[in-house]
Amino acid sequence: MDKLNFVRDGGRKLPPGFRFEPTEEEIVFQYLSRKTFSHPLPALVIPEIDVFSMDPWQLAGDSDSEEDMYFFSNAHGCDNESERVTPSGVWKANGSSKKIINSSKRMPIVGIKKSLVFYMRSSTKIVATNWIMHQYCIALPQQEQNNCLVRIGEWSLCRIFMKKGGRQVEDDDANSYSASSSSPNYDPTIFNENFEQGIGAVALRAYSSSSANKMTVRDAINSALDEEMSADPKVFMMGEEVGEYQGAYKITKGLLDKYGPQRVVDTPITEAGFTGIGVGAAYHGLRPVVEFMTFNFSMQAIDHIINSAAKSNYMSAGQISVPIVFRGPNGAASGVGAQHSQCYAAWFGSCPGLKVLAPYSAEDARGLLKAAIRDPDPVVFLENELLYGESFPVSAETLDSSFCVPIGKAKIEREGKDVTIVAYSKMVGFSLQAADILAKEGINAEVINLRSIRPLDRAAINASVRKTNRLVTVEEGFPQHGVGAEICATVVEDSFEYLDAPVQRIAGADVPTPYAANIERMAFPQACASSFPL
Amino acid sequence: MGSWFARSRSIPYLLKRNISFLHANSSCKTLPPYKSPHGFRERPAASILSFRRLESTLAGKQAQAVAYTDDEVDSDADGENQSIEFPGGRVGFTTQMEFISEATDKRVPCYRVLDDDGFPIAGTRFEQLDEETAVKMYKSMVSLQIMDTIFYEAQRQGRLSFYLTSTGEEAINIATAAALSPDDIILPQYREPGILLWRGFSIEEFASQCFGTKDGHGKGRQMPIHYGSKDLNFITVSSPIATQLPQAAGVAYSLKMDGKEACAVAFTGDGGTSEGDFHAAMNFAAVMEAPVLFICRNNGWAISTPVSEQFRSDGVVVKGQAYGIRSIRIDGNDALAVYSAIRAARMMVVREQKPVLVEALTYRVGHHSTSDDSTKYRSVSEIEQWKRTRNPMTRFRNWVQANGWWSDKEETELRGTLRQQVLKAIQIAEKTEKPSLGDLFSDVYDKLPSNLQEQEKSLRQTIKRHKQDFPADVPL
Repeated sequence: MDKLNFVRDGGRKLPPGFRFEPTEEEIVFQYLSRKTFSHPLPALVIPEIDVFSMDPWQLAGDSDSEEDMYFFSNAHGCDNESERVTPSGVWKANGSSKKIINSSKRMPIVGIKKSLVFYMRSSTKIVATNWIMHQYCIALPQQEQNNCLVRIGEWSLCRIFMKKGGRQVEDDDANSYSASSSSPNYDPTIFNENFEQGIGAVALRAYSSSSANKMTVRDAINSALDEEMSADPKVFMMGEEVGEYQGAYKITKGLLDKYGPQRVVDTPITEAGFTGIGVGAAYHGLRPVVEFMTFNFSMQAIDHIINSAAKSNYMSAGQISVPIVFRGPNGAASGVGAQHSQCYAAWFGSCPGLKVLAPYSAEDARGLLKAAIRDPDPVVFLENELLYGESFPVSAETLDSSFCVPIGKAKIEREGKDVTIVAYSKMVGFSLQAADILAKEGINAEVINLRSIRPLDRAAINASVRKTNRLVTVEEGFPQHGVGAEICATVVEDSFEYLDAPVQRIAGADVPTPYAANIERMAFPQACASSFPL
Repeated sequence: MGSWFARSRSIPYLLKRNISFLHANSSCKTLPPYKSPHGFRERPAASILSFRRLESTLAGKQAQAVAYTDDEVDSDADGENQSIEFPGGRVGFTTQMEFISEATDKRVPCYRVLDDDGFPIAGTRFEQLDEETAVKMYKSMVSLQIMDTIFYEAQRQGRLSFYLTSTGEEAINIATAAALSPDDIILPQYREPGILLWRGFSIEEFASQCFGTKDGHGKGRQMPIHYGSKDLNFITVSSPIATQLPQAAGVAYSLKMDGKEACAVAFTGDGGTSEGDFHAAMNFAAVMEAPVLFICRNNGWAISTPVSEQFRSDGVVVKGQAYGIRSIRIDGNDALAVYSAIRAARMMVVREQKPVLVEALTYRVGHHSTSDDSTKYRSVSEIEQWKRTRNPMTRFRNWVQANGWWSDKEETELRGTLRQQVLKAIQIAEKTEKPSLGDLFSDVYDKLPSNLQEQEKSLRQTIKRHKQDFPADVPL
């Protein structure tokens, strides 16, 4: 359908029969469903744009119209509660999603409507504004009824407007808009500009190169796996529930559909079995990524990891290399008890032949996992269940498919001069919080994110201690023979004269992790003592 | 390679019917299902039911394990022909509560070609060997035996730290190696050096590995007998028992993804089948349909544990069906039986891309290793009996000589030459330099990491400072 010139005499004149105050049913079943299934649209008046790449007031362009704006946008994030960040603020979901069902026929297509409110970022906090978005997505029909995941179509239709007095925002009825008497003004020149901009934004898969974007650690790991499997046909995944179930923590979501059961292998319940099989496959040149549901279960396979994977290259004098990655959540989660909460960084970190990595942010997760998969040595990749859902800002460089973080190099998350805090995984976040608290007391802490447990970046740690003269190590694991002990020893050996005070280790309590939430909290380092009652 | 068939009139075992041979498409015949003369589905007189095993087969579908299943599924006058659907498939039901016995009246028979004296048993079917292969096999067995004897003595004299012989299992070693293709990847336990010998590993290379010299490909990293060779497709021996079994399934999976006409071959002893890894490997290989050939050398002893204390099942072969894996039991001291069976099994594995289990019955004539004195837990007369009268090499030699392909004179010559060769290899290896200092740090990772570079540097500095304390036999 041709783009018609709707502007006549400075005002928009619509052909008879066309109205743009659609009901919710019309939005979903006339416009969105046609867009999703690539059928011809009734009118090409709705541009495609990444609505999250700009602030809502920028979306209006030069038009000072106060009417509703409609855009087709990527449906990313429609099925979960993640926040969507824009240059000056964030869209947050307001209330739960609503279902929209075609009243006339019993179609299998169901629409989902999400209401979002825009919060503007101002210095230290975010402030709610009057900008409202209704994001409509399509829930696609499921093959199995017991799969509680919602599959959503690729597109969403977003209505964005400024809330005015008397205007209902929480509408429960389909047709709740007070019909405005004037027809909406619509300037096609802005349409064209936005359209091209929109195409550009969409082409970058909703991650614009100009603005900072956010990514959860889960998405970071999933995208890293996806890209590495796509780049190298020898990479394959193996583990319990990684295929049909989409991963016990949904890390491997979508990979089975994309790569098939030969490359995403659901295994029987035998860690010893599938770890052994992974090692054997690596002996012969494949590049397996073996997932443990948690590293606590890796103990059932630890002989294969240590005696076979770690030592084979050495024992065979370089003839047999084992390019395998063992990954999975490590350390404490929340309320899972002693057998699901141990941190294995120290045990694996003491074994020559292995490389041990512990990412913190999404950038760490992506870069380190890609480096691990490409590495010819066996790598133990210690993730953290509680970090999976956390969002971190990611640069365009991070999103590139060749992005890699060097193994064995720590990252200075926060520069400081009074004390060095060294941590890994979740404790980096706590250390940063602690550093903020210390800053209020005038103590300027330097926070180092180890990223790599073996090889340990001794140079970075020592350089930092030589600058600050004081060292605190933070870990979730048990204190005896832990990572902090090794860091302390290396600093005492290399930088003894620079220390103004003994090295302090902060570690988990020397007990099997209890279950009850209150004492579980007591068993692990927390950022601030006053945040919970004793 | 033609097959030579013999027909028979009387065979002591159950090989009575016409059995088609070697080709995967043939189906095996089973005894007809039990049907009571009255048409009722009555059980046989014994209240405990025995289950039938595969009668005999080299190829073909599995026979039904339990006699009464046929009755259930066929339509019957009684009308009780329904089967019920459960996860896993349809299953017939019975109103008679019957437990499957833990033991059967007859053990699974083992496939045998040569009798105790080395003459083919009447009616036996096997794959014929040509002169060249047969002589090479015999010579390799002799090499293995002589190498074992002399290296063992060297350890006893204090020249070697450790050694492990394969005495009594020469037939399994060599005949298996001959039956496989050089592309098949071997994951050994530790009593299979004969395979390396067959594939071309020289006596000198064996000596280098055992003495840990700089000449061996091993760079002195491993204990003696932990051989490995990437070129000969022999994965380095790993000490923990049975870890090679699931790894073999992984190697097989990799071969399958490559689409290669080769399989993974994993060895274990009777003791290794008690490890959890055995279960995981068998189960997983069956589920993944990995082309792996599991060979269990059931030699009766796991150091001091006899098989009666290792498992209570009828050996290892019966475990195959439990995992959905085709299996066979063979006389492991009969080189021809081993050769034929492994050839057939390998063909099945590669063509059908499914695992197969072979249990080779044999006897561990030697001690477990040089750290063991087996007379402490078994009688000397038992050992002597197997050594003298049930020797696999004697049986095969008799067959080869009966064919006119070998003579006593050649035997003496061969033994003399080999003895000299092995002794010389040991003498040379003893005197050869050990690996240099740099080999201490290399191959831990693909590239030498900075901490190891520092350690090496610091070590060399220490050596410079204290030259007189540094051992003379470590080249720098």
